[in-house]
Amino acid sequence: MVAPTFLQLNLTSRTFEVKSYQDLIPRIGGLGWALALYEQFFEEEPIVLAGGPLSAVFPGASKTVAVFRSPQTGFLATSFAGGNLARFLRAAGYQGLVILGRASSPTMATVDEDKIEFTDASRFLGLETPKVFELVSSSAGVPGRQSVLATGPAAEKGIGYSPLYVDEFFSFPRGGLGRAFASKNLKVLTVAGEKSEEIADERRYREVFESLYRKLQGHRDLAQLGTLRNLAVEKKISAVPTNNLAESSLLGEELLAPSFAEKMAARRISCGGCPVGCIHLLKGDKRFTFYDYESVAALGPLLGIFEPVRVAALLEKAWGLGLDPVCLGTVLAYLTETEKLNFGNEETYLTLTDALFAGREPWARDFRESVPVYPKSLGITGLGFLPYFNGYASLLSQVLFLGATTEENRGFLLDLDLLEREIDPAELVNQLVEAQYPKTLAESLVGCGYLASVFEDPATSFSALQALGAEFSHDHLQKTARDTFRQKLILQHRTGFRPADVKIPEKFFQVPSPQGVLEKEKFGRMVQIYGDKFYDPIQ
Amino acid sequence: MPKILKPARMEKCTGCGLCELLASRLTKGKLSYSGSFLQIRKASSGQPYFKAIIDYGQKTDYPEVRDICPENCYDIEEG
Repeated sequence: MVAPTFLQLNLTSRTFEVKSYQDLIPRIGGLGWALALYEQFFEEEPIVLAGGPLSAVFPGASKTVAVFRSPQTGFLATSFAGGNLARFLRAAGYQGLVILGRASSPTMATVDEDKIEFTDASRFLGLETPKVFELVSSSAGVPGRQSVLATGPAAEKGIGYSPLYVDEFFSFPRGGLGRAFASKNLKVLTVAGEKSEEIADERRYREVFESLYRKLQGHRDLAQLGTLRNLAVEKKISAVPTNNLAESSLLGEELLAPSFAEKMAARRISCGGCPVGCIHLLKGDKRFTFYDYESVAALGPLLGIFEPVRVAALLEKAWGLGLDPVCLGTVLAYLTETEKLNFGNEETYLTLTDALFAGREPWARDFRESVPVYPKSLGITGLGFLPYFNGYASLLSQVLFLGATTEENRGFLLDLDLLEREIDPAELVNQLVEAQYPKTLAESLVGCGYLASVFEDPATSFSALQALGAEFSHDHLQKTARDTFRQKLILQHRTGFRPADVKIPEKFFQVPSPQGVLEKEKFGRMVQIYGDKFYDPIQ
Repeated sequence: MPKILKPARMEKCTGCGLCELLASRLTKGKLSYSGSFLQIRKASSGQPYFKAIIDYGQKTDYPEVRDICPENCYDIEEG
């Protein structure tokens, strides 16, 4: 296997360096590479973006992982984005980027294979997010022949929960990577290239490619409904946080994926190299806007809104300003309850969002950097609660940063298994952690987390890697996944995260979940078990 | 009349680019999204629509390329 090559961009000196890392070869790729480089450059507050060995050359291996310190939590964050970044990184000749330093003024970095430029980005400031993409496309590169990363205006204004947007309709969600870019004065990054690679074993490559393609063709439900399909499951078990989690049952059917798609969805699109095409776009008054389960649940039922067109107005607003919809929904739901406003009024929410963005009033300044953990807030260590109130494992996986989204952790699914049976707290924690090992392997290959059944299978990984000339044994893949997971915990600790310090809003222990009302004492015991058995011993 | 790959239903294209990847492998024996007779481009910014740029100076009637499209965007017809 060829040593992975990373492009280091130093924004302070506006210089770059290309480095190949022989020592990263055993780390498989993706998350393994990114964590290792994050540790290597730890003191310089790096942002590391990495693809994996399968990226863009096998169907569904379409994601890029970002490792950085979250401006929202202050701790290590990982985030995965689709789009075409993985494809163009590879075509530019890199397995990833290491972004260091801070530019003296807003900057656009352009990567076209070995031609790197740093230019002034002030013309993009203050524009709504889609306008930034429009302007980049009209002024640089060929539309669709480069990957474009950009922050929205909220990131410029210091709002922590600002995602980094990729190729217009994709994003690195959770953790505030957009804000992390903005704090380095990096407004736009483009990546282009046309490099090609030899195939180590043509026959084997073809076999694995066709096998993966067939497996992915089986995900038609995900393609047709997107992740919003999850709403039907959550509704059935009464786990959809409604009216700031005053209750957990969803009213009506209109937001369910088929109805939402019929009323609002104009299109669906794919990540580069993925035949599934699960990214759904609604067509609003002004533009196309992407939606998924989390964003619809957070700006819909959580705020007492149940009609697609009204949710769409808020989704469009969040994207325009560059605000993470889950955090925005969490903040607005909290304000509605504490200020005794009426749930369900999207006009009020549009006004509040503008005020939050402007940040002139004291309350708006309180919610700028993160989502606070107040008794009536659904904030979790600075992040907004992912709107799956399934039970202990869903909550625990978020609180412990086992994975920021349903793509990254198994808590949500594990809870579904526990609906009909009791489980010992230690056993639950054990199962949650065990589930992270295959997930970490998939994250090192950077296969899509929504296609877990494909990329968490060690046999698939083994065959695909072998076709590309990467001779890793099964044992090596499994051991490395465990090592990578451990390294993530070590870096979480180094950035200050301590399970014992976790604070949980009281709300989570007052409303029935599908597992009944969660017991605070039992939950605290789970956190302690995780700390004692898994987290603390490896530090 | 020689047969050609015709992008007959590009309004359905989701932009996955697998046709480009396969076209490159079939014609150049390499892993790439460029350098073959076929390129997918975005129709315009802000619009999730795509167009196929095909070089008809080369052989294009590969049934494998037609068949890999998950949205069935291509036909092979007489040019």
